[in-house]
Amino acid sequence: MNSQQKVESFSYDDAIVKKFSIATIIWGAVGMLVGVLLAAQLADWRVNLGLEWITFGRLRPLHTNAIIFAFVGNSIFAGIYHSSQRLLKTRLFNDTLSNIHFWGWQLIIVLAAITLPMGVTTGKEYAELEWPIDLLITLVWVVFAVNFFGTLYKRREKHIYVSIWFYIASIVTVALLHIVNSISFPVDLMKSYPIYAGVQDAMVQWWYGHNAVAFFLTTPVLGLMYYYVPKAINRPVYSYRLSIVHFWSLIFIYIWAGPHHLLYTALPEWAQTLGMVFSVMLWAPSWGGMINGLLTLRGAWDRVRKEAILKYFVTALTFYGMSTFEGPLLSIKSVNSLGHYTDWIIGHVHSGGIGWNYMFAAGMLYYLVPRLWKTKVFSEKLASTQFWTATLGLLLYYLSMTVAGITQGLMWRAVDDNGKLVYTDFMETVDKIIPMYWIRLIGGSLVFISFLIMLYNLFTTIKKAPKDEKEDIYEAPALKADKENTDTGHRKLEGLTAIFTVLSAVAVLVGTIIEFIPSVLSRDFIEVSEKVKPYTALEVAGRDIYVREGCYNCHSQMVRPMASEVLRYGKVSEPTEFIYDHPFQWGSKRTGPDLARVGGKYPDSWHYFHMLDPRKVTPGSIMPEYSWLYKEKTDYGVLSKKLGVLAALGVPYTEDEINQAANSAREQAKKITEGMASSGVEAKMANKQIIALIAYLQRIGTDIGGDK
Amino acid sequence: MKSQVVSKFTEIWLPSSVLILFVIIFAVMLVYVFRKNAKEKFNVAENLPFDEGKKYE
Repeated sequence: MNSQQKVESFSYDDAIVKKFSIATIIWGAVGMLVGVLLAAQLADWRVNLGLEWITFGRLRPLHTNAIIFAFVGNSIFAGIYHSSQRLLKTRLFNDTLSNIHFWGWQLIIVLAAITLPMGVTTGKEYAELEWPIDLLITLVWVVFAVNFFGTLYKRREKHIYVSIWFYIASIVTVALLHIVNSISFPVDLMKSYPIYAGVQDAMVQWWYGHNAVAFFLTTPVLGLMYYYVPKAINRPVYSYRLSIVHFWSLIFIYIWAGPHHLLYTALPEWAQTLGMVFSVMLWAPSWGGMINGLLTLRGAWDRVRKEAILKYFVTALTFYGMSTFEGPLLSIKSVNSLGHYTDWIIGHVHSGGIGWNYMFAAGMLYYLVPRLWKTKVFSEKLASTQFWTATLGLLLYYLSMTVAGITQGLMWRAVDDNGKLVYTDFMETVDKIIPMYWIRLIGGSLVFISFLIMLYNLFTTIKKAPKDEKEDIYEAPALKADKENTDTGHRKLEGLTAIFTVLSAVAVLVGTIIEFIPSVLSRDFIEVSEKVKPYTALEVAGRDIYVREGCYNCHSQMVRPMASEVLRYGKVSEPTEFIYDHPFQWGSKRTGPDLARVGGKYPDSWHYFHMLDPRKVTPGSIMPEYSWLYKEKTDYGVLSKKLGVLAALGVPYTEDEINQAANSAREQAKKITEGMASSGVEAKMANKQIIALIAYLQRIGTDIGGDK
Repeated sequence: MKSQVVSKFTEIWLPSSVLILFVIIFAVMLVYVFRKNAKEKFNVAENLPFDEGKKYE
């Protein structure tokens, strides 16, 4: 240390870290409880209880949002704020901003918990929150970014450690992803339509969806791993130099892989191949990071036996390695053709979500809570019991879903010697996997119970901690002037935060721009067919109900170019069919059959009775009953406004169609209801939501699919 | 024309060149990071998590 350097005193803001840690524990429990409820609903449909608020389609987005943004979100904020202050030897930039960040984020979570069960949703996976909440997210994220970069600016440590690089890349990229994917045109406070449609919307959504996993669930946690694993084991990371290669190659490659969610869809072939190739390339940096983390424990593996924190970190890294091996594997087109839309993907996601995110968060919380509250953990034994309970639950969950998924995939594609489907009835493939759904419920329950053990253990730790502890005061030399920096190459770059941030942004922008080519030019490569017409006003109303009820959570709308799909569903889906779909509804899971060609497949009355009691028309179905659609009225008054907004987004509605939307919808509803009179449907049902939904279902896939 | 290029891109030389470029950049990065004598430069950096500032007693 230069003897002339001024030594400064400061303290760390651990109060905010405490708040985010407590929020992590509370929201984690809530998110997992909802997950258990969903697992129970799939094992036995009666658990939907006939209540619209807790029906599967509405609750599933709540579960994913709660786990991603509430549980993991709060945990990464806790870890980032705790580690950044210490790595940069300074207090957070501004205590008020920290608190705005905390309370703003909790408000977003509460709003999500209220609106999603109400059916207020955009219908885009992991981005379901409506535009006012999206605006709030943007605002809070900006506050977080200002607070973080402000802290970087006032740091006392010239060199920014590898963890900080991952935080920078995450903050910049999440901002980009959220803003681009959320651009929409509001109809009112609770409803908007995305500016993108069909293939374009799918591209943007899965660029976002994939990278939400990458830059929200992975890169910030990797940054935390580079700090907390060395701290827990009390030795430096295995290879700092490997971390440089890990960081740059990971953030550069990750952003390209989005199209692997859209293999065999109506996306251009080259964009699909690009997504697949870059996904496979991800093996290298992902495993580089995992190996770097695991080898940090070299020579200290005996401690894993005794210390719960290390158990969690080692398991987290192992599952990170497993899921980053399985992810690229599932991105290979031939494997994807089997695994996509099945429960295999659900198993894969949970091996990452529980194995990587939960395990890491638990290890980090067991490291943080005793230190923040200046005490010892209440029970090491309980921490260990929690670990084994969670691990057993995770294994049951993962194995049951993998078995279920591969079974489904093989049954869907099975064709006999005469070229006919072996399992023509979709229900046969559902029946076979119900036992796996029960095993998943047991596994998920064990994971939830393990989380409750942690909740009890950590809150008892906090309760027993000494009260009124004062903040510790630290001393460190002030930051040296830039001219004294004699480093070169990457070491020099580690001291230049602005340039580092710009280069990180460039690394993610390269893949983003290439990926966006098909989105931006979608109008050039999608040949508009005259057969494809905009939805009628009633069909728009019905489509909005389809989105509200979260039908896309269980039904896809995409016939892939495979013999078994054509045999089962009909003509292969074409890009032109979706040009008026704001938002696209291709889905990512087939708990029920694909609906891309459902229009005209059954009479109107079939849908009417199916939605009322699915088992009446499809014995053994696990679909919930939608009784409220038979009581609630269609809002005809808002249809002109909706068509006006869609017209502003490029859907060719005439002035007359917009002005007469309510009348034409009433007319069509009356016709549909009269057509079902012979089946005992009363004329008074015409203004109910079920009729609008039938209108939409009967329209799906008929413009082009009618050619079959 | 543009429609054909965007939907059915068949120019194999372009992705091949880009792939070679990626591999070269990656190899250069590896050589640069793992070159002899580079380890000492990063010794201080890898120990940053263990220096939180001196606690004032």
